[in-house]
Amino acid sequence: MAAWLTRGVPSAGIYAGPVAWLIDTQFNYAAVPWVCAHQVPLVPIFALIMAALSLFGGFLSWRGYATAPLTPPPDSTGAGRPHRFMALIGIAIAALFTIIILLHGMAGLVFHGCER
Amino acid sequence: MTRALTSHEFDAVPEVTRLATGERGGLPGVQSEADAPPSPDELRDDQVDGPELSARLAKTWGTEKGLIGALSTVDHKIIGRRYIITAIIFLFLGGLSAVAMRLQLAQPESKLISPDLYNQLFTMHGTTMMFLFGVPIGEAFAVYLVPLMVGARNIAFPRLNAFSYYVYLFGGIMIWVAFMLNIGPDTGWFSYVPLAGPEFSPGKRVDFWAQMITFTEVAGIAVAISVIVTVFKMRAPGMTLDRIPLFVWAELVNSFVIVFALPAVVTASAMLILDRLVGTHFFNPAEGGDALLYQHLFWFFGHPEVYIIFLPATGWVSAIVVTFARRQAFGYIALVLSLIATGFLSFGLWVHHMFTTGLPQLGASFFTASSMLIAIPNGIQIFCWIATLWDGRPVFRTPLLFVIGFFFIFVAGGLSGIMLASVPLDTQVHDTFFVVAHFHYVLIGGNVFPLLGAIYYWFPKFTGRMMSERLGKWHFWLAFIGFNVTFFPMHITGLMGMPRRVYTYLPEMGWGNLNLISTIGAVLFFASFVLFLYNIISSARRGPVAEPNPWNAGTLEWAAASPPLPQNFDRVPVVTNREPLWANRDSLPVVAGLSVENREQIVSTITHGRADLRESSPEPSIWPFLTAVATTITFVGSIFTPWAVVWGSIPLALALMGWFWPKTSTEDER
Repeated sequence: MAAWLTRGVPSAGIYAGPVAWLIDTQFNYAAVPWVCAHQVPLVPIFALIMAALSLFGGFLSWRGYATAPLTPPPDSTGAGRPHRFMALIGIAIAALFTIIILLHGMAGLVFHGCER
Repeated sequence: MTRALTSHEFDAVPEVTRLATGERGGLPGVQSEADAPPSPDELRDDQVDGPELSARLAKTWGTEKGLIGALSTVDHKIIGRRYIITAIIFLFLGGLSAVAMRLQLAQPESKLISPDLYNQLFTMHGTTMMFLFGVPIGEAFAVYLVPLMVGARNIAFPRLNAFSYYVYLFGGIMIWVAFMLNIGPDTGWFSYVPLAGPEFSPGKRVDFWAQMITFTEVAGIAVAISVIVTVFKMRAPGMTLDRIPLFVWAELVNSFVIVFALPAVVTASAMLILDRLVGTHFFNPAEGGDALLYQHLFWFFGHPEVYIIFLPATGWVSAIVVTFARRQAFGYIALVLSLIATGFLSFGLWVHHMFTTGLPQLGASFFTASSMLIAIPNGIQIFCWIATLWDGRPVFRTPLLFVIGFFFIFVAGGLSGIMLASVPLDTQVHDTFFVVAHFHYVLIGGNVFPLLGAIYYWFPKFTGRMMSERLGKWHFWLAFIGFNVTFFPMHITGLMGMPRRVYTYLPEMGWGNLNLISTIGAVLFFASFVLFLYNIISSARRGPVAEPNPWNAGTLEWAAASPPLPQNFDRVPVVTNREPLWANRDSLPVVAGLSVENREQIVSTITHGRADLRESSPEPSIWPFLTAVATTITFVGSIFTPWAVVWGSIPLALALMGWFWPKTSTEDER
């Protein structure tokens, strides 16, 4: 686990961000009747948890980026650093999906859940 | 044009060493027969050269002459060409049905087309464009171009690929024959229940629609699996993940979206046909079913479907922009990021098609948020393409003109899409011509314009001849003007309240002039396609002969002959750059050591694209065609009796046994 955190996983953000967002979408959508009935701000709370999961994926990608080799193989004339490439995409996707999850959470601050 | 790697270069590309020397590779302790040293008796491509090598490989990888040979082929280029031509024929059929509808709507209270035929026409138009053209055309280009672009000799699972084409063809023929016999579907391209249920749509019309869905989705998923495996496991040595062409990335993401989206609509259509034929009550609220469940299932597929249509087009645009800007793509990472983000996000927007079904506002707001934010990755793509052109030395040939047209039309469609993501506005204009205008700007702008550019761009590769530039420019301007004259007024007719799917309207509504303008535009747009068809036919017969790389492009398909030989490449290239032909203008490094007498391919690692194994590619077989025939008999028969599933499974099982029967051919002996 410690090695995981140190070396990172370049592609983690690509999976963690969208998975967190999918869970957030499904859970919040299903929770609307319950939120309406109990008036508990479940949507923003759950969104914060999922945003943290997404950001953790981005963190693992960032570690993967930091520890990936800097130089491409000697036969290369361009690109050829797939781990850094995947890590950069992982960081960006985790950031994008964190924003979307937080936006979902903000909807829970605006609506009570009973509006039709 | 090509050169084999010398021995001192082997250190730089260590995986090539194993191919040339037969040294065992793979993971420690995980050795397979494919890692065995090459047989000394077998002729390999480092032992022959030049025309003799080409001729021998063409014989090994070629297709037999005659009808049986044609139906047995597993050559991705032949299947891909058939796929493209068939999809374009369906585009023309869908277009003709649209022209008929526009003629009917040109003036109020027109009697040209009866209400019943009009219902069938708009259903056939939508169904054809979405299922028989929109999804298959992107996959068709993938079937032809992805193996060439990644430096492979054939697609993965080529028999599955052949099977998928025949299933798609038979499904398309079935529904158009039904339409010709006046039993075409008439409940819209999404066939909502309860209208499409047994109570309100007796007869066989909806059953043909539901079963056509099964045909096309089976075909679509089969191709998607072939493309995913080709991209992940059959790339040329050196093609690391960050050297994959943007077109291939687009097709890869598209294939994943297809694999996850299409099962939802197959489920929906299967449940619908069970409700209609077997008497189940999945969608019947009176018996505990749920009509809204159908909409959820349909749109869980239906919104990703929009991106299934759009994503391949982004690949075409990227290829064309890079080639004609004469520089590498600006923001390669951002473009790939946008593709992946769009692919994921497409699965979280479906409820915005259901804003008027009485959902809680909080629930709807999640989908508003995602719908608005998908504009971010799509906007990034547009800016990257513009930056590539801005910083390059653009050459405005016909393919690039269509891409410029795409920018204008797609951005306009995207802006009206942002408007529709807002619940209050969507509620006001739901089911009006405003929505019709929006999605035609998105779909024709986002798919058809890039497609037309792509056809002009790859036509020399497909046929060995160039298309006429002069006719191409006429075609572009006629299409661009015709499209906007047709669809821009529909925004206004929609805001004035004209609903979709009405066969006529009263003169007092005040919609007559705008409808007439739309019809004039539709005639112009239709004329542009007539010109396009003429250009295709005349260029294929008499166009100037094309060189292997007439546009001076950088990706690997342009290293093959025009049109490519059956083996694609005499020797598999080694990739050292995102644009290999620009990085190695004089000589392309290649791998040597593959069999000449056997259909042998390289299987490579996913991340680094290291050559890992030698693997045989399946030889031609008639069984995929026969399996598709058996599948068709079962599917069509089941429209009339559920027992067709039982009896149809016998020929289907026999065909599959023939397909998978242990082979005595050289492919398995070796």
